[in-house]
Amino acid sequence: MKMLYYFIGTAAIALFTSCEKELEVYHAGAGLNFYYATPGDTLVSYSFVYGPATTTRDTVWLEVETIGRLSNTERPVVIEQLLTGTGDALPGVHYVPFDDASLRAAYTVPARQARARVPVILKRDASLQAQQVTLLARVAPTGEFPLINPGRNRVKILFSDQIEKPASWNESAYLFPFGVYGPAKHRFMIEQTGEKWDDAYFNNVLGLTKEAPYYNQNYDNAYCDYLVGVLRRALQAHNAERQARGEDVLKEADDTPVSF
Amino acid sequence: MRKRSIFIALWAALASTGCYEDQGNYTYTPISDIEIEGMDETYTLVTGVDTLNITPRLTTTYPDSDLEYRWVLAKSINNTVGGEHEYDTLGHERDLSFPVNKAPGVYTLYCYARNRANGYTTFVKSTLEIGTLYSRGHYILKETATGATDLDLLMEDGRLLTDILERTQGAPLPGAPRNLGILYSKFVVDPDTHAKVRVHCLGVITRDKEVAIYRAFDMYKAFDHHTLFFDEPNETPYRFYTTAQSCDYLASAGVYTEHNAGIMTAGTSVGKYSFPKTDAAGGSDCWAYCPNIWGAIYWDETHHRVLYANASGMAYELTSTDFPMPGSDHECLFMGAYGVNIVYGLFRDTSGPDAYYLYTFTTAYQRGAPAVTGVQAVAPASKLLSATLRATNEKTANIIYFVHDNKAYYHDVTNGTEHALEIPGLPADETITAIANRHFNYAEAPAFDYFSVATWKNGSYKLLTYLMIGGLPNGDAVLTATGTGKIKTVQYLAPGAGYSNVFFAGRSYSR
Repeated sequence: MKMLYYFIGTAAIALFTSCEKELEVYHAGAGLNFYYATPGDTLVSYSFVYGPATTTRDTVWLEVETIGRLSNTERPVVIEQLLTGTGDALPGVHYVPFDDASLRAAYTVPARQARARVPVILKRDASLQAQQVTLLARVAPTGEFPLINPGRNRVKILFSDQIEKPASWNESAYLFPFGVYGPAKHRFMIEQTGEKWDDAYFNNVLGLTKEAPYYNQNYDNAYCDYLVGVLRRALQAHNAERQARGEDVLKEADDTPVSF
Repeated sequence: MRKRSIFIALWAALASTGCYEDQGNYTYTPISDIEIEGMDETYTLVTGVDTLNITPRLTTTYPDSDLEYRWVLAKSINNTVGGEHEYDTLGHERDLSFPVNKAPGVYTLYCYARNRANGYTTFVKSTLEIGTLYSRGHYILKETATGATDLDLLMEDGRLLTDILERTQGAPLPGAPRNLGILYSKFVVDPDTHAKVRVHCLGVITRDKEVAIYRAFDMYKAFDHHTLFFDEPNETPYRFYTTAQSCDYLASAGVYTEHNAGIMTAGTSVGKYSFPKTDAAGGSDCWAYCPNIWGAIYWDETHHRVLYANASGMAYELTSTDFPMPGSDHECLFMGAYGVNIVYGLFRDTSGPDAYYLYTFTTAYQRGAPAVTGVQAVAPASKLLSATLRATNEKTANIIYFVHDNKAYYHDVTNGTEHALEIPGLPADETITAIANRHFNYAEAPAFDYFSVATWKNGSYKLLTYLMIGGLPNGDAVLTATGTGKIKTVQYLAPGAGYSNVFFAGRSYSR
């Protein structure tokens, strides 16, 4: 008899819960995570080498997005560094610490807003000429934003004062016309054209992207072919000059000749 | 334990069935069929001129009062294969009367019939090739009385549009005609929308190095020599042509190529040329398209060598370990194709007393470089050597047509013999200015395989086109035209070709 009561009781619970159709109004509280316009936004590459030699610091912007209801008041954002164990950026040396007082006003989500951009101030330390460092950032839970979406809580910033391989440089993509990447090749392209050949140039001018299908509406295959032709001819002339001086052709550090 | 098991089983059964709701419809309605007939597979129409009238025949047991209709026109956006489409509803009547007012292009017309009572719907579809008067026909490249270049168009119904460049551009192109090439699905920037689109174009080259590309359906001049390149070269232009994957331009600087088909439809272009893709520069008017390699074999008159280019516009020197290759002591007199795998080249060897050789270049389908598979000495007395015009039969007979002393002959390649060519109705007192095998074979256009000859006298031309048996003209001319000027060549343009079948452009027509 006791078992029968158990059965009836649990069956009643099952009937009450299994037919629920109405979604409840969200009431789990406020949260915050990074906003990725594309999955590729989890990675940011930056190099001081493209900018003026006098630049001592530059800003990378990260976008955050709230969870839950909007607030009528400004809410502080807390970003913190996660250590990877390899080449981690040093606060105060390679970047302005997230909790620096000078950044406090900028690390907020304005009232009645769901998104905000927060600055990461990168510092041009001399050590960046010899190494690339990693700044892995995450949103820290706070009293204002106790919830964190773990799937959207990482942004890795790779930066240096060296030439960097743009994330859009994808030699495995069928349409990618510029061949295998190499720092010497990249520098040569910058010198010959005056363009940075960074992600902004690939995306906004050439229409080549780091995400499938690896091109956008700006893509013009004939123009890319033309640039390859320009660079190939410039390289031939450059190598001829080098060889006339008794030097070897332009090569990467691993002795691979640069080619287009 | 047993009670617990029973309890768990009962609970699971309840949990799994608690939300089940039978949403089946048991009010069955008998479904009849609707058959729609009376629509052609393809309609070819001229925008602004034609009205498409279709009266479909319906077979069904439904009462007509229950039926409703919808006519829908679908067009591929940017003419990409398998890409997005845009749709336009033309009407809801059973019979369609559509004054054709759409932009030129290839459309799909759907006729839907639906029973309002039970929702049963069926449809049939047709292909609509909407063009202008310029969209289809035999384009005639001619030299005007002033020595300039102009175009006439011989349409399917025999009408002739004359002096098209003078009428549409204000003047013919300066210089005598050199070449006319059909550029199927070439990228251009639409002047109205500024969109990068693929359209069929005509590429015209003159002896004064004038180069022009016209959008075929309205003769909009899309490019001249100054606008055709990202970096304008100083070169001798030879010809435009379409391969299976590209619209190419052969010049003394090399092969300029534009990917326009297959997987490369993913990319778009403003239609300018960049640089030749290889360092194998050079070319000449001695050129033959070879369907097997989706490219061409041709003579480089600057460096005296034989080159070939594939469907990607990659040009290379053709070499042989079995036969001596024509070189600095050679001059190429002619190149022409036969079948899908053979190109003939006629060369004069000036290293000693003049000697003449007919080279056979053979290709394997999509594999590697062409090979020299035969070198045949041609007797010095052969009329072929001093001919003023030469052309191969490209499909049905292993012969080379030629004109010697204003008389037509053919050279039988198999046995090296020469024969007079009987051409019914050819005016004996007129000068022969062009001779060719013109053929076309594509599903959306009428196929033909013609022997074509043009004559000139007192400022006027005659174009005579014949059906053939064994490569020789048979019977009276089936298509003729008479106009002013002197014909250089004739090229056929079909509006639908090249959009839906990327392989078409590589193979099925004479160039």
